[in-house]
Amino acid sequence: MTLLIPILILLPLFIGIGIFIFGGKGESMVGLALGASALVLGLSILLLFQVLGATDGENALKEATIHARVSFAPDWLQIRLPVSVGGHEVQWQLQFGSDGIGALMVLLTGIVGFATMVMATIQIKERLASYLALLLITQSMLLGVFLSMDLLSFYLFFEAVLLPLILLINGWGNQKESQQASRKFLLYTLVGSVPMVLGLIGIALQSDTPDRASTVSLEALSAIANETQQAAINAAAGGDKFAIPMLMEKEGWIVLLLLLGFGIKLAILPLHTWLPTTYAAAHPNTTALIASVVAKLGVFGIIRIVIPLTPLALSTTGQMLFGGLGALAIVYGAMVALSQSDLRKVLAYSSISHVGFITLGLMSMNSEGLSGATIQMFNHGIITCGMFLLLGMLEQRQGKVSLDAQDQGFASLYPKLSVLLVFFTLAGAGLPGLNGFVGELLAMTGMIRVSGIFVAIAVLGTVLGAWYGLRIVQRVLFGSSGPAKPRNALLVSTDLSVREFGPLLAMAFVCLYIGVRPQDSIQLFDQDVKRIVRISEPSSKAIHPEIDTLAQTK
Amino acid sequence: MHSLFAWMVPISPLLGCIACTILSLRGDRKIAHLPAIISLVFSALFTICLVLFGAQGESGNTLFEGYRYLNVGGLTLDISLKVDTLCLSLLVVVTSISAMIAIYSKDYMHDDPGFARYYAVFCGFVFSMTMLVLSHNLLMLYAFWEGVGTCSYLLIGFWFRKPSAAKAATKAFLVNRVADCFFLFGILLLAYTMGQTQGVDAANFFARLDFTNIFSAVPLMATQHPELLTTIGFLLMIGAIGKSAQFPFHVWLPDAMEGPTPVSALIHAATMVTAGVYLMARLSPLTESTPAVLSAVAWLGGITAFIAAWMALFQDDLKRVLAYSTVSQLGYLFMALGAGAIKDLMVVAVTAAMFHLVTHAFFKALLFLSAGNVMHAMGDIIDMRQFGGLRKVLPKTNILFLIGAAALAGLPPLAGFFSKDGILAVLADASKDGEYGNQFSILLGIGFVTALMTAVYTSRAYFRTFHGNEKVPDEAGHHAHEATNVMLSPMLVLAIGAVLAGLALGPTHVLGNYLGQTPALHAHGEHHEELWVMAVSGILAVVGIGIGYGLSKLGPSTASSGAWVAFADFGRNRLYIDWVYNFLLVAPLEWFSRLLGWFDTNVIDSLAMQIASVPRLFGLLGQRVQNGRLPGYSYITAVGIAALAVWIATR
Repeated sequence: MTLLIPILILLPLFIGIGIFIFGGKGESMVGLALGASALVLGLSILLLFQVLGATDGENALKEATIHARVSFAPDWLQIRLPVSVGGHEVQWQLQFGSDGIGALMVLLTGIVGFATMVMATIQIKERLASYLALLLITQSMLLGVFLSMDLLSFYLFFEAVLLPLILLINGWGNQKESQQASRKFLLYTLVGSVPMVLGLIGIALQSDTPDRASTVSLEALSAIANETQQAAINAAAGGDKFAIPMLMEKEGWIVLLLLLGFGIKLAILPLHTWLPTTYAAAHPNTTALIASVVAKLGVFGIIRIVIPLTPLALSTTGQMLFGGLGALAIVYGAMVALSQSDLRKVLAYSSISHVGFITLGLMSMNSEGLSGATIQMFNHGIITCGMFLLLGMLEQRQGKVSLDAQDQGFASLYPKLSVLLVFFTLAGAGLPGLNGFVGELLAMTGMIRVSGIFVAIAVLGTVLGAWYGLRIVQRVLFGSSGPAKPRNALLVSTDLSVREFGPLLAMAFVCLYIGVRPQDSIQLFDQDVKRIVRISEPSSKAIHPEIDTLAQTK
Repeated sequence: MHSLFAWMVPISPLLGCIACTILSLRGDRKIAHLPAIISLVFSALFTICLVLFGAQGESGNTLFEGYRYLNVGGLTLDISLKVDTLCLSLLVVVTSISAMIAIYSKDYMHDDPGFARYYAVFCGFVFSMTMLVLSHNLLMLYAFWEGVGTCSYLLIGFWFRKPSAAKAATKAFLVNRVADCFFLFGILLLAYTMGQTQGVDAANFFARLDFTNIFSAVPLMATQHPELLTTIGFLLMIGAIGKSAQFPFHVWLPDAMEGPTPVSALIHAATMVTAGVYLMARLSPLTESTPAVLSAVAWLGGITAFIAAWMALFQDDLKRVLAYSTVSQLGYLFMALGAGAIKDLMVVAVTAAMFHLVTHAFFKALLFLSAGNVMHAMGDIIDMRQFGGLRKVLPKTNILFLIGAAALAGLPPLAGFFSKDGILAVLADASKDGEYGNQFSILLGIGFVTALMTAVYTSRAYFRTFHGNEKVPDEAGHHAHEATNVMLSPMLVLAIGAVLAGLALGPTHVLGNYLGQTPALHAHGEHHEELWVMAVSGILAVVGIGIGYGLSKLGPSTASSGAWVAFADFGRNRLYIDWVYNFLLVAPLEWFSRLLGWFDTNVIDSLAMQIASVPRLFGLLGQRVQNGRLPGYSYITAVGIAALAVWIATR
């Protein structure tokens, strides 16, 4: 039981609300907001070490459940309803906690939150206090999602993220586009969240059996899921042809609803079009937050809920479908990114392409794939955050960055900015030694054991990814025929200031560090992935017997 | 002790890279050459120590543990170094030549504002290249394979203000990436196939890709999954020919000459482009079981050697002549490697390829640096039409270039003669084979023709540049001067190598015996020295030099017959291959991407928004009723209550 978790969630929330109410013009609030997000970053690092310290024992590792290595679940967080479902009274214990995967995402939220906060104080000129407040509130909701260990609070935070986010998109983006974009964003997410809540209710209700009350705890639910699927697989192995179809009848619709809900969030094809619109309309600073953390909510949902709670149904209905869509998204996103002339849209579509790799890793349902997806969630978050922040700085200096003109030559004008942009581009293109490579490699390693064709498609993405990345570098940075002077009204004619350079340099170091020594971060969540794999791999094997399996899970 | 030496070989340039990066970020200081040169010299010294102390050990290869890179669910990938004589022989070339060129660059790049950046990437390249050579695992090799590619990208685009340089850098990276994506897929497929093979102890996905594990699994895979193994062989081969600029991936190398000349000498002539050859040599135990792949390698090498020589004949840019010549010579190496398709010739083939690789590195680096001297003196003009007769202006460079050119042309007893003869001899041997003999007879013919062409274009370039009437372009200023001693002294070392390396390593079998200590290259089978091959190639060199001299006397516009004009035209326009690529590959892809972009906004998105507007239609219906007028509401309420009452009453 640690108080760190409620503090992490509530601190930015209260400070955010405080700034929102008493913020005034906002200049005086800059220090407080910066301090708050720095504190959150510090606390998230602290949480990381707590999780690292709370290593499972050998025996605990053999259990096939999700397990919060650091948790907060006091008795007063219990919901009793005078309703009886199947003979048992509803008595749901809300739980917060963190395993390695959650801790990594919390760290990502901390880093991205701090970086966007610093940039916001430089770039946002109007209604600064509200912006900072909303940023903090969003951060708090995101932390809530990553730290939830039960269905109910997961869902509540998952939906609550939207509110401050819509305001952020709407209030500080391009005047006309952002209205439409926020509407589209809202529509899409609502379309996703209704099926999702139905699916979540379905899971909770199905956990109710004559000898067991219903529960919302992920740990309990994953244990139940493993039990039922083991029973079905064993029965099927024993000759019972109906065991798996019976279970499918129970779980099949749930998994489809959940995949629809989470799929929209991770912008799976063809439900992705909210993403480019939103990214292009919102302020680059807001987009940095959305692209790096919010877009990962769908992935996180799949790894936290879909895979461990409905493994068998996922391997039957979703694995090949989503795997294929992920592989397709890699190529499709990259191809469309190639044709865009607005740098914002190039980055938006590149995001779709990169998330394709994450999907690929998830749908392999084995330990390399899931590890790859997890680390890539973090890596892509850092890389894309860096890219969008750099884009914001470039726009602040030069107005809209278009790729129509060749050889714009900004590298001579802004050397530091250019070095960073080249660095993050290469990291995004999956250059070995930088973090993007690790995730992509692991995702493909996992997937090749499931489907060689998907990997064959995915490797094309490495070429196309380099193509649109270098296209940016060549057109925007290189050459000299470009403008000799900045042409924006908000003239910032100089290269990056220390305040701009510092956070980005730190993020670049994170990229390098993970690229050179990925084991240090994989070690954080390796055992949690192992636990999930213990649930997911048997089902994947049972449904697709042709899959190459390694003698690894003892 | 050995472990320390082995690790210091890559770490020393890495430290140099870090130091230069810091210097570069602090604003270019003029002292950046110091950490770079020191670290590279140390790297070379450590390599020599490894060779002298026999770090490969009794068993022929030794593993030096590093750190654990990945450990995912028990699957581990380590970063460790593996030393054997194959990698040591390439390592000596890489570290010694890079040290020489770093010294040369000190004066060559001295006035450049990006001085520190240059050395930072330079050292980064040497780090990646040494790690590539020392890799013990195919995935690790791939990682540094990409690393050298990136350094090459950054150095080609070093003068990024020049649009042509920026374009060339992008092109080089992308062409390489296309090949590398096949390479990566091949690696993954190889690991997968090993997992599917009975009898292979392969629980660990990543450890399967250790070279020792691959080689021990090859016989089993060859019997159980021969088609898959051949596919893998082809995929890996594509990676190799991409990096080594073989047809059809050769298009990036001539454009890469946009980078600084020392970089062209180091990366695009002596070291990085030989990585593909090294890979094929390293994988020879695997490719031994896939003769189809090796035969393809030989053919691609032959085609490349010939067409690149053809293109080199008609270039006016001195650096491009050398670039095409590099492509052509790499084609030679691949031809030699391909001869491994014949049983028992593998070891000889690899030895011949490695031999030519070593000598070529020396004389081609020398030639490029000489061209750099010319460029330096001529005010960055490298077009041979604009200068000539420079032997008085650049007397020392003249001699150095002459040595390099003679070695490249294959004039006995210089290095190129012996190593080229070694390759031709292997091909002659291969042509006696029953199954593949006819193929290799043709390839031997191509080899001879190419040898002649090589002599022709080399001597033509030499005579055009240094003989005839003295002509100096305006850009050179008033005093076109000889290079400084700092630049000339490393060239002297290279020149000694270009003269002696052939005689010292070849006929004495020093290199062959040394390579034979590598377990995979234990010599078996007899190789016959063919005196007639030696005689023919020597005569061809002399004849070719004579023709080249004659051509340099003639003006460029002395074409007589139509066939010759067409031949020249094709050569000058690079056989239109770049044009074909743009027309058939790049343009359609760009068009397709625009189509997809249109499709995304106008079909998928608008479809989604159409669906989203359906609920709004219901809303519009509701709007009619919700008109805000009280009478209407009360009317509806009344109807509702009545309906409710009727429903309750009828229950």
